[in-house]
Amino acid sequence: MSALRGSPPNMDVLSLAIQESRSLLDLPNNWDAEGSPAYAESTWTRAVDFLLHNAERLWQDQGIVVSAPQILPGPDGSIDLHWRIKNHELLLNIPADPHALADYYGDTVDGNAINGKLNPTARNQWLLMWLAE
Amino acid sequence: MGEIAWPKEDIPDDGVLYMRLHRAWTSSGEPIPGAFRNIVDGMSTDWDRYSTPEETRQRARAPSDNAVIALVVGQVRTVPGQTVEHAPLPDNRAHTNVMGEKSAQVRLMLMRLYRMALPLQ
Repeated sequence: MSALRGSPPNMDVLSLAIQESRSLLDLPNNWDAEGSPAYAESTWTRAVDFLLHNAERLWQDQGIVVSAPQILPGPDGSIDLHWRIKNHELLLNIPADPHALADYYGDTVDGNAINGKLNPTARNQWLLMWLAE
Repeated sequence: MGEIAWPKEDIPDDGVLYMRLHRAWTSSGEPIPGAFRNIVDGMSTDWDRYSTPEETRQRARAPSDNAVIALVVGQVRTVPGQTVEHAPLPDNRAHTNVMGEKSAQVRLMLMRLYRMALPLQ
């Protein structure tokens, strides 16, 4: 049954955010005049895969649509996914090191918080589902 | 003649730290989470006892590409794992590091503490 759902209905919005974020790959070394390194395509791909795979799974398994995050330059060649949705804020950092875990923190205006590290290539739709609570 | 070695001082909680914000780390003129990061020893700032926001901006390689934000020391010290350490340089007595890992939690919390001291020009 879940496979019948296909792609999330806001896939065009997610795709646009992803497409625009590809400009991160145009930044050269020292792009901020403070020594920040260029962004590797492999890091960007891991960030995008995390977003797409988990958004699709969340839609297919639960019928929940996740909003597009800001896809932003992070420290030391990492990439940040940043959501501000209603009462929730979530920051997920995809590190430049492909073997390192992703660091996340989220909280709500009610004071509920989640904080930890995860393998960004594993199934993590639970994190995006938290945004929809 | 040697360079002047400024004494390292304790910074009170009511001190203010000025931090340059390169336009590349902004969105709509405001900082993005990545702006709050360590460079070598920590997040580099200037203590307001020895610097004005404009002096902080002028220390950038390209001052016109930089805004300056302000953080209250006592509030920074409430962020998990963060310490404020005066680290004067020969040419900058105000220089201060905010030490500690800049995790996602820390960066979001710092995002909620700043005020804009000098916006982008």
